[in-house]
Amino acid sequence: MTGQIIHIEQSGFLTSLQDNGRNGFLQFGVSRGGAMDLNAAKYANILVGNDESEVVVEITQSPHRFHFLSDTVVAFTGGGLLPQLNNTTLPLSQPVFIPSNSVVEMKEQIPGFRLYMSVAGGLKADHFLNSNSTDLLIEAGGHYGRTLKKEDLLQIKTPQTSNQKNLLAVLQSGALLKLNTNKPDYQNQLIRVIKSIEWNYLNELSQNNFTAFQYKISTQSNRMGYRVKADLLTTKIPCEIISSAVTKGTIQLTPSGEMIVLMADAQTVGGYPRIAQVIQADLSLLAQKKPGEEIRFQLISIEEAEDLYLKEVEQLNSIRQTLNKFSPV
Amino acid sequence: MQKIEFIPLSESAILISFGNSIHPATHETLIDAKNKIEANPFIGFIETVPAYNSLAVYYNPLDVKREVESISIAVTNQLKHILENTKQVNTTTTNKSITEIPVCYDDEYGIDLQEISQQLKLSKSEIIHLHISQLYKVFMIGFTPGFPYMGILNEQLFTKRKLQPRTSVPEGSVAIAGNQTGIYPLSTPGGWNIIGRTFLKLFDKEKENPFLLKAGDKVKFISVSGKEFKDLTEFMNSVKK
Repeated sequence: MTGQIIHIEQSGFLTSLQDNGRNGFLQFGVSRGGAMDLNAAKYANILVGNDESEVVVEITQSPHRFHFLSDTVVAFTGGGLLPQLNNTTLPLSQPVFIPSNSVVEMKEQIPGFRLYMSVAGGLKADHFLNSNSTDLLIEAGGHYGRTLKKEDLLQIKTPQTSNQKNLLAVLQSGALLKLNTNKPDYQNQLIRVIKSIEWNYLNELSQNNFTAFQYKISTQSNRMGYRVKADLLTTKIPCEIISSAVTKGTIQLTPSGEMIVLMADAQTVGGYPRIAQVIQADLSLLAQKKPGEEIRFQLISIEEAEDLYLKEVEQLNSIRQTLNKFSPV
Repeated sequence: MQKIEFIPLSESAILISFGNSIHPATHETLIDAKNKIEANPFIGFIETVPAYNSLAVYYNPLDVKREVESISIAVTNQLKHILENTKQVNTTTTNKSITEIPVCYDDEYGIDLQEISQQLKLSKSEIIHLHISQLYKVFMIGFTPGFPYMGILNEQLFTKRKLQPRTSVPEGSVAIAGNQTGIYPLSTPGGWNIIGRTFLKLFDKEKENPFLLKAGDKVKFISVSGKEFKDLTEFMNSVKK
C-alpha cells in the first residue's frame, strides 16, 4: 500500500486541503489562510484522534464523490452537504468507519456551506512557510497549491496511533460513538461583532443602521472575503485610511457603499476604514453562510468576545477529554 | 512626539497606532518598537505586521498570562512595559544597507510611462531620472506576498491610481501611485501606473527566504537597458537553485 487512501471521483468548485493557517509571514504579505470554519476543522481532527492542527479537506457545497481505497476512520463536521455511503447517510460530528473500496457521495444539501472531513492519521500535504494550508494565490501548500479535482489521490500522512487503531476496531465492530454536543444552528443570522479601529468614522445614524438592518451576502464572495451591500452606512470623513493591518473577521467599509467582511484568505493590510470586527466565536457561523443569505450584526464588548472564544475552546477541550477517556490505554 | 495608542483589533491582535500621518521618522519609531517586541516576545506572542504608522501585534489569547483583567488589556500592559523598558535593539534587521533594484524603463515594460508623461507634463527621461535619483524606504509589505510599498516619491511624480485597474499586470512591474512606488511580485490585478520592470524576484517561493524586501529596508532603483534586461532575465532563469 503506497499510503493512498482516497481517489477523488468528483470534486466541486472549491475544495482544498487546509489546516489552521500560516503563522509568521503576515508582515511579508502572506495571508494566514487555513480553514474558513476553524472550529469545525479542529473538531473533525479531535474526533478521529488527530492533532487539532492536522490537515483536513474543506469541502464547499457542490457535488463530490470520494472513493476510499482502504479501511479508514474519518469524521465529517460543519455543514452544507450530507455525506452518504451506499445510500446510508453518514452522521456528522462523530468518528465513522469507511470500509475499503467504498464510495462516499456528498451532494444532498443541508444548512451551512462548508463540510470538513478529517482522516485518522492525517493527510499528506505540501508544506509551505510553516503550514500545510493551500494558498491559492501563491499556488503553494496543500495539494500542489490548488483546489482538488477529479483523479486526485490523497495519501495518509502517518501510521495510526494505538488510540486510533482502537477507535478503528471499535467502529469496525459496528459501534456508533455518539458524543453529546450542541448542534450548531447555521440558520442563525446573528453575527456578533466588536467595534473596530475606525468605528467612529461612521456617523451616528450609520452606527445605528449597522445593527438595525439585515444585510445580504453577495455573490462576489469567496475565501478572501464576503461582500455585503451597505447603502445605509456613510462616513463623516472620506472613506479611506492610511493602509494598516486587517485580519479574518475585519469588516471594512468601501467608498462605493459596500462592506467587505474579510475571511481566511484576506490580504494582510487594507486602506478601507475598519468599522467592526466579527468575534472569533462567530467566525464559524459566518464561514457557513453563503451568497444570498442574510446576516445581521450585534455589538458586544471585547471582554464578552474573549469569554465566548474561551468557551468555544473549552467545548473542544472537553470533547477531546471525553474521547481520551473512552480509549482503554 | 507622536501619541502612541493601543487598540484591540481582534481577540488576538492589538494595533499600536503611531499617529495619523506618513513620515519617515514615525516609521523609524515604529520599526524600533517592532524590533523591541520581537526581541522580547511575551508569552503568547506570534508576530507583528508593520504598516505606515501602525504596528499590529498578533498573539494567541489562550497563552497570555493575566490576572483579572481582559486578555487584550494584559497584552497592552505587557507591550507598554516592553516599549518603555527596552533599550534600543541592535539586531541584524537594523539594516543599513541599500537594496538596488535594476529596472528597465523601455516602452515595452513601462507601459504607462507615455500616459503619465502627458499627465505630469514631464518627459519620460525626466520621470525616470526623478524615480532613480533618490533612496526609498520600504514602509510595509502587503497587498500580495512581497509587494513593497515604498516612499516617499518626489512630489513631481504624484499620480492617481488608474481609473480602470488592469486585471493582470506583468510580474516584476515597477509602478507609482500617490506618494508611493511599488513592485508587483506576481501577475495579479493592479491599479498603479507602471513605469518599468525588474527581473529581480520580489517573491520567490522556491527560495528558503522567499522575500527580497521587508519593512524598514532602503531601496534604490537603477536604470538598465533593454538588452541588459533581456540578458539578465535569461541568466536569472537559467540559474536554478
